[in-house]
Amino acid sequence: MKKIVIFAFAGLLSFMVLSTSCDKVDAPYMTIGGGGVVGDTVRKVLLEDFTGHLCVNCAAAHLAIEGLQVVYPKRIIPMVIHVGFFAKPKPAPYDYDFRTSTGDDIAAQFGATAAPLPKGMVNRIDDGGYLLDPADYATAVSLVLDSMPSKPDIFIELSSSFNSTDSTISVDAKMSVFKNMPAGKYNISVMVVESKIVEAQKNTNPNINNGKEILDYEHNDVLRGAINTTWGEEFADAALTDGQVFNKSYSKYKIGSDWKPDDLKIIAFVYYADGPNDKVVIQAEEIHLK
Amino acid sequence: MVKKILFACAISFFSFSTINAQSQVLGGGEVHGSFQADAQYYKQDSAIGANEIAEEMAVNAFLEMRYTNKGFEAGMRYELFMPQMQGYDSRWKGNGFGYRYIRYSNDRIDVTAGNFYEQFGSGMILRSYQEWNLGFDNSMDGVRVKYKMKALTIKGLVAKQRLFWDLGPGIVRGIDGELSVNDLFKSFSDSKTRLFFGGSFVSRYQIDQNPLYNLPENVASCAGRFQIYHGGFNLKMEMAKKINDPNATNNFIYKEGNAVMAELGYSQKGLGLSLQLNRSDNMDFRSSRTATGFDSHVGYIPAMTRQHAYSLAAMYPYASQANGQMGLQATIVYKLKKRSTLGGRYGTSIDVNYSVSNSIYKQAINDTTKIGQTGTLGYSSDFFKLGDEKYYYDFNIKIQRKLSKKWNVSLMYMNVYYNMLINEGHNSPDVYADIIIGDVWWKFKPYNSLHFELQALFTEQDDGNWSSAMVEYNRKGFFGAVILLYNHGNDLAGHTVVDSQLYPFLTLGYTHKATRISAGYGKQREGIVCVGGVCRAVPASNGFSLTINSSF
Repeated sequence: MKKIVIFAFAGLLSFMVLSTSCDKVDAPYMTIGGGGVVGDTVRKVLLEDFTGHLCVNCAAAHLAIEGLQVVYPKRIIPMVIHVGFFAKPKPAPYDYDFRTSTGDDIAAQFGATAAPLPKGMVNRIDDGGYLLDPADYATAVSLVLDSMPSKPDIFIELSSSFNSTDSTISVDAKMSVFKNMPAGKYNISVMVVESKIVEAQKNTNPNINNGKEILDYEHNDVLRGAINTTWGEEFADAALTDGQVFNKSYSKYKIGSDWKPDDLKIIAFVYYADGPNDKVVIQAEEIHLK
Repeated sequence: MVKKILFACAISFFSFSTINAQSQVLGGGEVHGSFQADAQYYKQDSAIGANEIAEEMAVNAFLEMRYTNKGFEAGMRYELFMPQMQGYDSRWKGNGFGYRYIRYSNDRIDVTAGNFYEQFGSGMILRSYQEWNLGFDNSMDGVRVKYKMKALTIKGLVAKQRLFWDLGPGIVRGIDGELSVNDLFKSFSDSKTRLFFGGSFVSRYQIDQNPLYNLPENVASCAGRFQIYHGGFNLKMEMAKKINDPNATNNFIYKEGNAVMAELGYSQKGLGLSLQLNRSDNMDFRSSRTATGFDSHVGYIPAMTRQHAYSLAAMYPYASQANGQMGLQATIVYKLKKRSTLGGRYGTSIDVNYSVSNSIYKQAINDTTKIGQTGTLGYSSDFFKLGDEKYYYDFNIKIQRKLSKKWNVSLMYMNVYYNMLINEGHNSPDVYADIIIGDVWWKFKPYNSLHFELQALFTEQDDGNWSSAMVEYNRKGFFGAVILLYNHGNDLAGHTVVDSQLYPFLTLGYTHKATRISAGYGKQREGIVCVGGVCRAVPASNGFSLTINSSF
């Protein structure tokens, strides 16, 4: 009798586990588009991707970002930061130096300098650590864009101009507060990124270029520098109220000699500069320089 | 420097004063445990690519203790990585109690709450274990119940997995049963044939918050196995299957996974034969679908290759490919008779081993979908068809002969092929290498012996040829060794130029009862350390190292 009870118990347990622990998914397996509302006054995320031209898995991370940009059109602001061992210049064709002091500072602050790459951050949110694997980018983006109101807490409007005579950039940023926010320090960071830089990229992902390195890889959204220093500038040290507007202007930022103005973008983001949400990005925006 | 020496002395003192106390009796129970500390002082050496670290010295250490009193047991392990030694994941940095549990067991039932290690069958769908030298620990943190009957043992568990100093996001549920047919039926109880059957089911739950993919939150896997022993023969087989598990290691494809392992063995006096076969297809199973590298493994697909102890033989080890590999390993161990022409006065043993691992055959599921394309079924695969790509092979033969009561000699030859992309993840030329090793033990006095070892590795790829010489002296508990490892460099056309380099290393040690202390100084090459097909890259280093381990 005892054995019968035990076998019955084991059978019941097995049935419970077997019948409740298996989700078979049928096609379609992927979502095409549908990342909520599209428009200017929508919440956007800053997606910082730590990468390197010697990193064999980094091209796949770039592809993951492009996939997210399809699902969330104009709501993802990528900033690709070349850092650490995998970004060091090596003999040609890996002799180009993508690194920046701004990128190095950001990597050091968030622990990416010696981390195995690729890694990334979404809005600099610390969810048991700032750094994410590329496979986690989508979930982290969704938690911001799908779980939070589509209307941003602070709306950023950018305008920029380029003076070809002295190769300098001017940027005006207008921050409009859309909801009451707690007392604290608020910073704005303004960065320059460049796309369409054709240089070599290591790769072993069999789904990209058959797992071979790509000598004419198009590097996009590469961080070039900070217009108002790595950690930006404080624009408020108080509670913010719905309807408040702040303006910041920057000028005479000289671009690098090999930067192509047509491929430059200005990225701006506002973030909490103290308190429990210290460093968390509230809203991001981008604009083509030309 | 003085501070570092004091620190090293403190570790030594701690080990001796604490560890030499043998198992303690406490309230009728007993306390047992073990301790290990590995310390390395790093010096910059640009010639070998060794870097110093800001802290100058790194220490990995643990102290494990368990208290047992009748059926009750409680244990913990304090771990320290301050900072972690080079080559260990930086997420280890820190210290704390990484492992703790309470347990009660009697003849029938065994209940554990807290951390535990567990394995179902060969581990294909569940194996949690720790490898200190790899920096690997995927212990479970939850509840496990085992119920033992005469013929049947049932295990069940619900847990999360350790991920460095945190827990992974997934919940692992599993049940396993193993049946002894001989114990079930009285008529078989005295049979010379022993037969066992087993079955496992493991499921992982992880919430789907991914906007790109429609992901299964519950991913199930199951496995069945049997083992037969008859006389000198044994046959083991296990088959596993996993339902759709799109994850970061398979590029988020929805194909089902499967794996098979089989082993046939025979042994009698002076002869041992074994043949192992395995095939795994999309079987990387983790408690987090976004995990890569060492993180959050639930299943374990071992490498079916020999794990070599000699340094040059272990230079190119195979890293198991759970998402696609077909391999076999055959081993023959034969002992030539004592006092025969070939066997000599004391006998000679010959050990021949061959292992090979290939890719599996993959075919596109239709004309518009690339093989492995994300968000699709990925590919189809003919179970019995080999893929085009060879991952690894290793042929080795070792002859060992005792020449006299004082002299023991062994010679080894090894031929290895090593696919760089598969094993190290970069597109460098694959390695073809021949390795020759001679090993002589001379026991010239009671408790006194000398050990000479010469190794040579010949290859035109990677870093080129290597050679190594070692002299080791053992006297009772003391040992000392000098190792000279030399890389001859590689300047052949088509390869990155590698300059020749000498890696001298001196090590001294002392073993007293269950405590061993060893210290070393010198250069160590960068390389790969593998245990059971799980591999870790070790950067080059130059400096002082200290290891203490003990159990009580």
